[in-house]
Amino acid sequence: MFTEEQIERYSRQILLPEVGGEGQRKLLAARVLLIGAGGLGSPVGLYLAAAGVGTIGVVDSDRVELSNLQRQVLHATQDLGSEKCLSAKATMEGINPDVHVVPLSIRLSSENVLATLADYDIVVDGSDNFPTRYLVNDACVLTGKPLSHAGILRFDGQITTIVPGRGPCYRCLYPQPPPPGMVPSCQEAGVLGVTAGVVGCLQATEVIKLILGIGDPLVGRLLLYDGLEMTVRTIRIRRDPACAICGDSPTITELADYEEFCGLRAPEEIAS
Amino acid sequence: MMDNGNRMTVRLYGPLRHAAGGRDVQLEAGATTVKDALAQLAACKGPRVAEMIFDQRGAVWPSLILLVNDEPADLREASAVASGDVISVLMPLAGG
Amino acid sequence: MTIPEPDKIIDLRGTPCPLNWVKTKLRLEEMQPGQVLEVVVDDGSPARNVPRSVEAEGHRVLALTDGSGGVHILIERR
Repeated sequence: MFTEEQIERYSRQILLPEVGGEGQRKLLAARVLLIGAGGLGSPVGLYLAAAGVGTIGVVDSDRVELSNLQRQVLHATQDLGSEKCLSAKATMEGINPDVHVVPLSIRLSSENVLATLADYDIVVDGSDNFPTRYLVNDACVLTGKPLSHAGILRFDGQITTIVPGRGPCYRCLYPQPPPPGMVPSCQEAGVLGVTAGVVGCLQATEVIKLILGIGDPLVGRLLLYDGLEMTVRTIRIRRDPACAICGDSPTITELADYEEFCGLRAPEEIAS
Repeated sequence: MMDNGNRMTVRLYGPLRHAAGGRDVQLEAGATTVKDALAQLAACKGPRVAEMIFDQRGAVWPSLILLVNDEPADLREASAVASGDVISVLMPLAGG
Repeated sequence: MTIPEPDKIIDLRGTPCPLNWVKTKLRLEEMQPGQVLEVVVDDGSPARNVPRSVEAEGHRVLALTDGSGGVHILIERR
């Protein structure tokens, strides 16, 4: 049962018919893995901690850098040089001591991803590179774990919720990584900090809905956010029966590491 | 090319929009398939846009999402298009 | 109508809004449909707000009575 403090802490969501005490218990029992404690991982971490998601793993092997602080709101100036997963733990547990944050200072690879995911029920992709995104998608499809996927650039974002067996996976949308240099990174093209906030908050909403079993998650839908136009467009996406990993005759049955490529182009090639 | 009167819009997202200099591109030259429309787009918007759509063999990159109006283009670039259609083209975003 | 005896009673005098309703809601969740909960709240806003929230949530207020320094609300869990 809840302590007096928990009743008061979570009162504003216990009030919701869709949550109640039963929902709050589900949140406290949930185990969510965040891949990345950066732009997207920050709002996800903050709001899942605030909501009382009981166990949150945070995978990030980087240290906090000055250019991160424009958007990675889990970290503050005093955290410069610290390991991001530890900084995330301090911030999230500071918001809510009910939450146990597991810091995982590792780089995900085909060798460790399945073991890393094993203790968690839901995965959030807040990574910043294509190899990790495909690896995490594949691992979630192979293990049947729901995955919140999002990507951002400049003022835009895309977000979908992947529930293996219920709808399309990342490869159904994007069968292969684009060639190096085609899609600029945030480092090259830039990103408005709050874009990460908006899109990450949508991810947090989706995760909470999955835990509680409420509402309509973005399964089979891709939400396109355009911050400049301030429009949201949702497109239907379908599971591809020929998908290499979740299709009727999968050709990918084990995990692989895409070549890590830098993605940075020589200065004279960068589009103006 | 015979002008069959087909006029349509290509709606671009993300890096493609940025490379093309704007969200919507009006096509006037009678495309009958998505591939036609993309070829016209590439021709009028230049090599940077072209290489984001077509590989060296002239095939459309598999990792573009293609929609005709609000529906996924079932036959991808082979899908038929008609006058007034809006073809949306999306690329994955890696940032996080 | 005879007023049924409550299956459970909770004293929420001194508990402000909305916590008085939250605690009432949590207790109702633990009960079976048809069971009766008696909640004692302070006069004033609690006595107005809690019954309203009870009904908005779909339960039934069976009786509202003044007494012993508070207001007694009898609720049928739906």
